[in-house]
Amino acid sequence: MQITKVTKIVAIVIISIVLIIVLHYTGVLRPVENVLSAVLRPIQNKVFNLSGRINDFYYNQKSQKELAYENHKLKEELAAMQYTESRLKELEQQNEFLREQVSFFSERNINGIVANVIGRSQDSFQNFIILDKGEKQGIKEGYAVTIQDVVIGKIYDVSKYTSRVLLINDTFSKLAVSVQNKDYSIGILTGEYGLGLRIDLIPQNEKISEGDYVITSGLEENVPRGLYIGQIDNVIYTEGELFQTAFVKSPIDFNKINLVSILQVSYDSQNN
Amino acid sequence: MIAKIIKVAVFLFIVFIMQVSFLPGLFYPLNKLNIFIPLLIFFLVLYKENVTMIYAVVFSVFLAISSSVPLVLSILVLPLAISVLIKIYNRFFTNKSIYSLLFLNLLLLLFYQIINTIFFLIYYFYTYKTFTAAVNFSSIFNSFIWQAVLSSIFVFIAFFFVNYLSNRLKTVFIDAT
Repeated sequence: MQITKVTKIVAIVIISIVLIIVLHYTGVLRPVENVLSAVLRPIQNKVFNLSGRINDFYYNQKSQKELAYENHKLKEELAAMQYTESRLKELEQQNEFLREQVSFFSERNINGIVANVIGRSQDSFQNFIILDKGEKQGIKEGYAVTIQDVVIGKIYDVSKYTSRVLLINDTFSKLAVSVQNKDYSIGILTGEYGLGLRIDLIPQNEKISEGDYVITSGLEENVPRGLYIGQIDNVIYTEGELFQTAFVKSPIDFNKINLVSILQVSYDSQNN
Repeated sequence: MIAKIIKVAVFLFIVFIMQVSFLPGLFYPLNKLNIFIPLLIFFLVLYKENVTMIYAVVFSVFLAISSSVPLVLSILVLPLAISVLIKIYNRFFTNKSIYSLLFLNLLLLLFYQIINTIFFLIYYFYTYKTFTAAVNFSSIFNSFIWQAVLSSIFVFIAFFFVNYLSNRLKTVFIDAT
């Protein structure tokens, strides 16, 4: 009797799982998934914003406690800032770079679609976010996603009303990049378990320095050249090795993403 | 019957929104809480195994929505973990005390984490043909510890809440007849 009951449960569960998998991959479930995502999307948006506000409240409270310490630290930093005056030339270069970034979209006629974050991955392996824009708004796989013109990831899965973005700090993320150094080194940017960003396979003879800018190289179909990613934070150079590795610091806090732009790129704009 | 279906649908809707949209937006470590695991423990203790298994499948579908691992793998993690736990529960557990619930919760979390890690490694190997740099074990360990702490607190609070509302957990020993 006991065996029959257990067998029945196992059979029901296996059949349910197989059915879900088959119906999902054959697309039979697609209309149901689309209706569900259309209904749930506005609620998810509101709830995600609510948790974001709780998050902000927590960080505000935390930051008040740290204000005294930060004040002291800032005074020290202010003194250090005077030193940076002597680096006027470098600042001029930075200024020029930022100007290029500002005029980037208007010059290349790239269409940015603003999207709200309505969900996020939770386990320690994955780093992605769910957006409230999908096929219906013209979103396609491979489109770059930015915040204030800084690349944070690429679209990797699109449904009718929502899409998922694999963040550039995810282990599975691969992005063709270029370093703004003398050699214009190119490489592949990968994530470091959600903790950081790394560029591998840069030839040892190419000189990369801390502070060099990292941009997209334009070698990918839907990602235009010149999108800002971050600055080189650290370079690992081992004597006798063929390649060196560089670590990149992004100006974006990947844990506090609420609003993003999805870049709709036409082939013409990519070649500009 | 209709009232029951509506009740279950509302419950699933709230749980889904909580897990996919509310909790992930909170600050660390609260964003690591997986409420499906303690909920399944309560289903296991309060209802029959088949109810628990069906909820495990439904929760797996929810988790698959917020997973970058293919559906074919992510949908199996929770049902597999809960099946192992049901075996252990039927064989070794004789009461529904708070200690039992906490221990079951930790066991399920552990099985879930192990199976999830194995499946992730399979997917990683399938994609990159190597295991190099696949996972950061210290990050997984930190995440596991926080999940254990938070879900234990959840079980602790929920235990007294359920006890207050019903007497289903007041039976000290499970009726073995």
